[in-house]
Amino acid sequence: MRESPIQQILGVENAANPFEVLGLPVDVVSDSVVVDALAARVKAVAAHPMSETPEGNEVRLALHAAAAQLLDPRIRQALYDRAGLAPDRAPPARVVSGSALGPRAMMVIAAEGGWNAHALRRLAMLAHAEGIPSTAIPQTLRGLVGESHGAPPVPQSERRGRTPKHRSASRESDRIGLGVTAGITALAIVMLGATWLLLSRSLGETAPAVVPSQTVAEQEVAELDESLHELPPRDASPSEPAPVAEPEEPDWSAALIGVRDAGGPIDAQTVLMILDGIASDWARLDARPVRRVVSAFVDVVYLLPNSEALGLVNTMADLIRDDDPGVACLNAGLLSRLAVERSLPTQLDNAVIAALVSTIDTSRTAADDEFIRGAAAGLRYNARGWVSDPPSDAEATRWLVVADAIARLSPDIGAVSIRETLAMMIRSGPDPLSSSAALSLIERLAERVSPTADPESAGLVLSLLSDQAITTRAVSALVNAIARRTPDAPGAEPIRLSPTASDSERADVRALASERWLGASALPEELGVLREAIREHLQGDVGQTPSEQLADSVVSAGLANACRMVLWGDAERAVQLAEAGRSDVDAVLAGRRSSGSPRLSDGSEPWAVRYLEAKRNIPVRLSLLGELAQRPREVGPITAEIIVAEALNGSPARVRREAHTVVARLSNQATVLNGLLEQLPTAPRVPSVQELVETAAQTSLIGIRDPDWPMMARRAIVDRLLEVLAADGSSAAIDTLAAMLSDEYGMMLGNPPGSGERASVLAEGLVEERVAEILRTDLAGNSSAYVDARLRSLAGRRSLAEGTAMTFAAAQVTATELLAEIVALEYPHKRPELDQVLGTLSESRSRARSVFEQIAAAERASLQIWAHRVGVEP
Amino acid sequence: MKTLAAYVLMLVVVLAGGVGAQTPEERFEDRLSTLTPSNPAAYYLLAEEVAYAASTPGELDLARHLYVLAFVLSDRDPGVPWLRPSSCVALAALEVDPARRRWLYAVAALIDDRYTGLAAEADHLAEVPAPTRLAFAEFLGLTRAGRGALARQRLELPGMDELIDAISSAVVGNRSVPSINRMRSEAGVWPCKQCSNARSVPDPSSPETERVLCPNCRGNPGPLLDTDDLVAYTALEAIVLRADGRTWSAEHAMLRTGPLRDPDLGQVPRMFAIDPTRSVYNSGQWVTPDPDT
Repeated sequence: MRESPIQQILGVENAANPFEVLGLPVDVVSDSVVVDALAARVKAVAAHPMSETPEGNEVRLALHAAAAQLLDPRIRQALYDRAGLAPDRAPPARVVSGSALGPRAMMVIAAEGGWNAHALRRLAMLAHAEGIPSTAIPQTLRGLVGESHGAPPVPQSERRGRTPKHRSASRESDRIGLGVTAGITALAIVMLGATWLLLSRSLGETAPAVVPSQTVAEQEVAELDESLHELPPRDASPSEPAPVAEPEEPDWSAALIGVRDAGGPIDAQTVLMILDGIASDWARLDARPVRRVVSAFVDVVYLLPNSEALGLVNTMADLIRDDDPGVACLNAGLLSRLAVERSLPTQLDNAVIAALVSTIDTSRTAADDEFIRGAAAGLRYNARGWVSDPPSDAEATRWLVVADAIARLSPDIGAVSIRETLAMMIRSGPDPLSSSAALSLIERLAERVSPTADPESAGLVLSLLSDQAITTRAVSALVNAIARRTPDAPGAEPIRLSPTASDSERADVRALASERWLGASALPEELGVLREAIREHLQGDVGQTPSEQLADSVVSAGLANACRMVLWGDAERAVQLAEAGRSDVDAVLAGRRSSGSPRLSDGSEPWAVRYLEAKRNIPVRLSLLGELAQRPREVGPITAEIIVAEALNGSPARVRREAHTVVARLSNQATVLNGLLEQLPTAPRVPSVQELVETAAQTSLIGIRDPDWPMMARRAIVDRLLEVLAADGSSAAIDTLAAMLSDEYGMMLGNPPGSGERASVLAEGLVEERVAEILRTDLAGNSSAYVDARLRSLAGRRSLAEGTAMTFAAAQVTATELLAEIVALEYPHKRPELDQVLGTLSESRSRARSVFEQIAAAERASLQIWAHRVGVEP
Repeated sequence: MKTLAAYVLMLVVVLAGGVGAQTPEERFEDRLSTLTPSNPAAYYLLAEEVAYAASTPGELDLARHLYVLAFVLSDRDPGVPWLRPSSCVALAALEVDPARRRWLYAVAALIDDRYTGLAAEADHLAEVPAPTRLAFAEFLGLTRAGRGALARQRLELPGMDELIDAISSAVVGNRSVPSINRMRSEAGVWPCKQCSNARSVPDPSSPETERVLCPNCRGNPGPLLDTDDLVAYTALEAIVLRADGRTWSAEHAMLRTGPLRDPDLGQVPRMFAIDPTRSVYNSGQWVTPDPDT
């Protein structure tokens, strides 16, 4: 006869005797004895060669069934009676809760072969059978957990310091649409998780009493217990308390794994509740348990019905926006991980992507660490409002706990989060010297960067020091926070930055930091390249034509920007700019010479001849107009004047409308615009003409009945015609070079290239910036009178300026004068040379015959002043 | 119309110039000899009297001289802060050249913010009524189109000659506006005498069925203009219409890229070629004051 599995594995002869099955003597036993015996038996099964076989699972079921019998008071009493044992010898019940639900819940778990979906449903039914109202179930079971450990239950909301938004009943029902029964079941499941923890701890180091559906799952459960002993040590720092381990806290991670192992069915509400529990704890876990949670989550999503999964994802997307960083990051991480799944239904996959795009907006990389990357993105997303509203100390602490957890899971990703948040606060946050919250946050973040040990951190601090757009006040908060943590070497110059430091002083601190942290410094040969480029440029001629003078200005401004790069510590970029030299502007000048004047007509206009031949033949005229409308091309003056005349005054209306269409399509041509100017005096003042003029002029006009309309319309067309003619004519280089000069000024202000801002506006910005720099640097106020005089002078220049080129020149020369004052304040011994530069500038401007010549002179002066500032004067 | 009034005033004073044999200094010698650098306001008040009664260019020059001295001397007299900017404004009022007038207003604004904006408003074209300026611009466009009759009508509007005179005098650096007389002449030539601006005429070889471009106007009535001409005349329209000029090249075409002169207090005497150190009138000439007196 073949042996039964329990006989094969445990040597039990009588599988019907629960005492024998559990290896217990037939005697009065307590619950804990039963549970311990169960644990020992399960361990023995796990160690058996047949553990991974169906027979092994069958034995596990038998063990749990036996334990369930002994844990049931009525069955146990019956067994006592049968063995002749006195009932008064029975030990007190282990759980002394006022409710009978606690021990019975444990029994249900055991009877169901571990906690799983069947156990959950039975538990809910049991609760109702006991007459426990739905609302009391959580508290009752929570009491079971708390009392069993001698500690009062701690409400979830108190633990977190907040009430999770998704726990709102109305919100849940709106989103998930579950019924009351499902809610009760879900609550029961959550509490069951707590029970499970109790049970699993009672089982000691053994694997949980489950029947895993997969070998992998078994391993994960086994590792889970191991992970309980891997929690990171608590941080003793009072300013940065690590989350306190709460032994009575249910193991929500195990709950999630258990739900996965049970193999369904499950609902979104339950998963959300378990995730909510995990959210409060996951930051304390190390890599392996986190991986298991993530893995279980993905599996659980596959177990969910599609509609439930969609509801889950949508709710999780909302939770990424949660104020609690633990919640936000967990959900961001899990959804990011889910996003790389390839087997999700399309609708669900789309929902996941939409959730991520609308929140953390990260790309999928399919990397193993997708959860961590997503969590890190969620962390940054969680801090998105800090630039306008810095966090309180408590909020910052919660955020930093999660940040530290991410750093523990992946030091590289964690460090990036810290650096990016730090950079965000320095770049865009409130002035740290005016906002204590911002200052405190910067200091706490700064504790987590170490420029001396980490080149990335060093690079960040140096780049912030180099970024002209960042105020010295802001960056000084960071530098000084680092300095307080990093003791200077004996005799070494301390790396500290005054909030009122001048740009040069800041550059000095940057150079010192660069040398100290990275061992880098500007090389003499690099500066030599720049010096030589400046010398060569200044020795050359400015040129005679406006284009040549503007080209000279662009080169001067480019070299001045190279000097600025030296000041801000980017010697490599400085050399690049210096070596660029005149190549770009020479190309523009060469293009101008080759293009020559625009061609207005090729002298042969067959279309015009055919149209004139058509005379009153309407179909032919319409056909010819249609030909132009379908194949727009460059038209000569005769054609242009014909179609414009038809568009404005043509007859019949069909011809007029068709011609209107043609003119609108060709209205970027000089011939057509000129045709409009020629015909406008006799054009009817009707809406179609208004529309045509607006289209051609690319502007909006006043109402056509306004008495000023004829003047405004003509002015608009004239403006546009001049613009078009210039763009294609001998003056085209002027506009191209003006745009290049704008770019140089934009760079000087730290703007991205190609912003399209007018040079005059940028020059005004430069004036403002330099005034601010003088006022910041000149603490004694000696320069205020000078600044006042320069600004008055600027106002006078502006009042004399006609057009944007002159307006630019007005601001440009003022900015140059202010730059000289800045450098004189920084290097008083250089004042005579600076005065000489300004004197030469004044003379050059007086002699100049055009504003372009003046612009070139001012730009050369500015370059010389910059060269003095960074010590590369020729 | 201040510009026109100034021209008329100039004409009157030129015509009256030869009437009297006395120089302005001789006429006002008694008053001039009482002026002392310690009382710069007296220079200003006398300058006002001279300017008000001026009937010769010499008298206007004397008024300017006194205003400039009032301007310079008041620098040493902070008790009369109004004197310096007021002197500038008075000098500007006597100016015919709009550029010089605007510069003087800008200098006044350097001293006193209340004068800010005067320079920008001192655009001589702004004083010309908009319909006149529009008519001139249309005249240019109609002439380019060979629509001579309509173009000539525009020229007959009141104030057109004065406007053309003012525009013609505009010179920036070594550049000036294109010839208006050329366009006046062209307006008299067109429309096309052969096709009447129909652009085409019957083909002599088959006059019943075929048409060819008019051999006189080549199908394009109006003067022959190359691109540079078109740019120049369009820019002239832009000047008259006071268009914005959307690009630097457009501004260049509109002669708005002349040198930007800095408003500079120290440049005022130099502008009028007056030696500010000679501030005392003695024995018929301006001399340096005796330091002992």
